[in-house]
Amino acid sequence: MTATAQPLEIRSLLRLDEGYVHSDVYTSPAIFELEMEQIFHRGWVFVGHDSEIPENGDYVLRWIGRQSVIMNRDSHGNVHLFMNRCRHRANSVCQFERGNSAFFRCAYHGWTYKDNGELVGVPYAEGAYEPALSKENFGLIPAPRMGIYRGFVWGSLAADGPSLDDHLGVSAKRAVDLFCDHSPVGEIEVRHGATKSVIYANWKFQGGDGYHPPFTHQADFGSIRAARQGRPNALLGMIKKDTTLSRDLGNGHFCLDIRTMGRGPLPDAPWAKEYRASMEAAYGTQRAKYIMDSGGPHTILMPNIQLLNPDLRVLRPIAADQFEITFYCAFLKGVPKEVNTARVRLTESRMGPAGSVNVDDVEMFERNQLGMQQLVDPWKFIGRGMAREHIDNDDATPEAYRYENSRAAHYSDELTQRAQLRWWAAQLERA
Amino acid sequence: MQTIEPDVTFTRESVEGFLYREARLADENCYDEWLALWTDDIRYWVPVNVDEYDPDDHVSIIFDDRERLQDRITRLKSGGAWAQEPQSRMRRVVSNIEIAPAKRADERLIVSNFVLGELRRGREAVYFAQQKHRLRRTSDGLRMAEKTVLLVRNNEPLHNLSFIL
Repeated sequence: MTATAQPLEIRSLLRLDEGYVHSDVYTSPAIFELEMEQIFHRGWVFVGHDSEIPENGDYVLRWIGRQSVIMNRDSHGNVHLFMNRCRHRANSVCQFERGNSAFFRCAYHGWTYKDNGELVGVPYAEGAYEPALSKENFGLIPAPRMGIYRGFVWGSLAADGPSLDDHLGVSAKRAVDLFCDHSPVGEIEVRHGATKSVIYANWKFQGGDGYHPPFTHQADFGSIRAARQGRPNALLGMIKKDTTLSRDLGNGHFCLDIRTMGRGPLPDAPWAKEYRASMEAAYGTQRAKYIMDSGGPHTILMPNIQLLNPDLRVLRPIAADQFEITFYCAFLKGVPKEVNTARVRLTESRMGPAGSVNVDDVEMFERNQLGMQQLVDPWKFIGRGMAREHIDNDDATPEAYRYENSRAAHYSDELTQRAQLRWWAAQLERA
Repeated sequence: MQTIEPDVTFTRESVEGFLYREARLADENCYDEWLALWTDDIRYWVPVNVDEYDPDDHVSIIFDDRERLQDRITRLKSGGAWAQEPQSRMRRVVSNIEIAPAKRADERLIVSNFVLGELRRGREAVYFAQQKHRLRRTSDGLRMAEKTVLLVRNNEPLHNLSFIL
């Protein structure tokens, strides 16, 4: 497929009832353009977390698809998403990845905006415009829609469409809740550094594949250390355990449900005891134990954010065969420093350009992209566990984190890939 | 009690010799020989985003103690480190070497620059960096107690750094 992709052709690239997807879904530049238009420049896209901009005047520069956007907190504490574009001749008004400023000034001709977007300065305006320029009509343009859930900020470049609430659905919000509730005050802090990887493969490779870890990650630091210490390999445990599942959480969101696996006991240290006590005081003994044992949600929210605890991965598509991931370590508020230091060590051991899990994921994604260039048989087989799909009500999980009425299958089944592609096709076919 | 009679001193020649040898062993994926250049109480640090911060309060690209570094090498030798199968071909040029005192009398802080060219699967990458070594005089010759690599592009998306940096 090289020309423009039409909706009718999208359907012909999927044979999900037989478990097949056509390689063009991942390799075609025309499909990628359609994804930009229909998913990234229209739907809800994760932008950042409001803890990144704690002080009035703080800002970060982000992307919604190909559009540069400013997420900032104005002098009154309100969070905004502005398109990074001067209303005069379209220069970008913000040049730095992060900073603090009460104003955004375009260096080209000096037009100046307040941190709430209001245009306050137009040099030599007197007599230049007839009638006089009404500054109130020339403020920075906000992203048409912004939505915030527990500090997670999403933007949409379409004025109309499903609400953020509808896009997330109950289960995705509960995954966010489980992620944040590892803090006794229920708040995370995302401003403690981030590694960034570039991957020469398609952005729809987002993991959520329970089949690959024992093979792809046989040499991750966790496996190496377990072997050295004579402990069982956790990656094999996940796939063999009968209480782990893959789940379709609706709207393209999915998870590897390893919440019954446990994270291993906290070390016998004063800080660990203090953390446990504060969690029990905040949530009650049973729920606190559930949260801490769960290891987090391991959930992937379309189109661009993954909650793996303690890692928060945010994805940026660049081309059909290139994307970037930023790996944040989410700190917990209200915990001893050692809890967060342990999270830092865990995130950096796995994620980023030298992390022992990520590098081999990158390698597999790129080998996949290479394989998909061959045209003799362009169909990929993602039919694992099709007959094992069933509705699961997640009864054993506390209600606050329950994935009710979700489609589930064996942990290693390709249910997650199929769920993502069904949602994907629906987005591309939207009128 | 054994008395250590230092058989090397921190001359420019000995320091350069150490840095060049370390670079060659890393370039040629000589994992065990490279690991043997370290002391036991080590810190191997590749910061991300900015060059200086508290690594307990901020993620890094690499922040290894001796145990994690040993795991890193075991991983590379395991046959399952796919991101180094095939291995990277590399050459680095080390220059701008400056030698400064360290806190311990038997150590020196060595600051230098390097340019690293890496080729893997037909894709060539170039990395510019400053590196800081804390070298210690031991009975076996000079050893690294600390190495910090400040990549010029440490705030940009990077492709896999699955080789020895």
